[in-house]
Amino acid sequence: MRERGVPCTPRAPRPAVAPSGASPRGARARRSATRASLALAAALLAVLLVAGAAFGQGATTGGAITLTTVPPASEIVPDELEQPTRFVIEARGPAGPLRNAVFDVELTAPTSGPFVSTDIPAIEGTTLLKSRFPAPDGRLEFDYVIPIRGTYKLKVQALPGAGASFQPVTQEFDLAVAERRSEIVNFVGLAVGLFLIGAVAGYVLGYFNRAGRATA
Amino acid sequence: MAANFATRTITRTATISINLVIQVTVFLVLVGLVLWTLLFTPYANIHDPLHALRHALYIIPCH
Repeated sequence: MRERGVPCTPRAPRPAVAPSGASPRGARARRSATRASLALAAALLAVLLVAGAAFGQGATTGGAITLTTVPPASEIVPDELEQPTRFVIEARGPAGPLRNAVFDVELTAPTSGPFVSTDIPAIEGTTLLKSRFPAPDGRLEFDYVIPIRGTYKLKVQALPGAGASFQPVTQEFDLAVAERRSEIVNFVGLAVGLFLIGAVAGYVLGYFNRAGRATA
Repeated sequence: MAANFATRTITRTATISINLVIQVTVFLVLVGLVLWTLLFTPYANIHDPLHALRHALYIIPCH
């Protein structure tokens, strides 16, 4: 009986021990089966790739969202109350800005390691901002004071508002914010100071203990 | 016969001596106590004047 979808591939009974001079008929059959399997796998892969590409396009048919910060992420100083960071979020489609959009914005604070904390551990890993903003021009700007160092996650979803008909677009951004330089300098100063105190104390205690032993 | 008293003053200095391990332990405990009091205590009268310092030291949790 022929198998469907596979060229006629007669199954040669597999010998328990491979013969020293493999029979040309069996080898040909195995090669043919291998080729058929490879062709099938390639076809399957192609179908998956095409489907994936189509799916991806479907998700972004409405367009793409861009995030710009002022100042750029590498220059953001955390906890700077006088100079908040300006977030500029834009949603654009193939024909330009996605007008009459509504933005769902969610900002999640970074987490720190188990041993080293930031100065505000209470907010680490929490949702800092979760709001819906109207964006008639497909553009949203807001100022926000970044509180601590670390990598923030910003999730933006552009939804069609009244009079709009594009597909919703969702995008996530990672925003890496470094610690302010002065804090690192202060920390190094503190560490050096503690080391010096320890060294002086160790010297003094060691000196007097040696002196005590010498006079005893 | 009048008693003849000789007065002698004996001065003895008692020195409290603790060994090096105890000295180092006491020192470390004191330093730790001072650091905790300055940088980690939630006690408002100490926390408030040093609040800005805590936020300026990179690893000191404050809130």
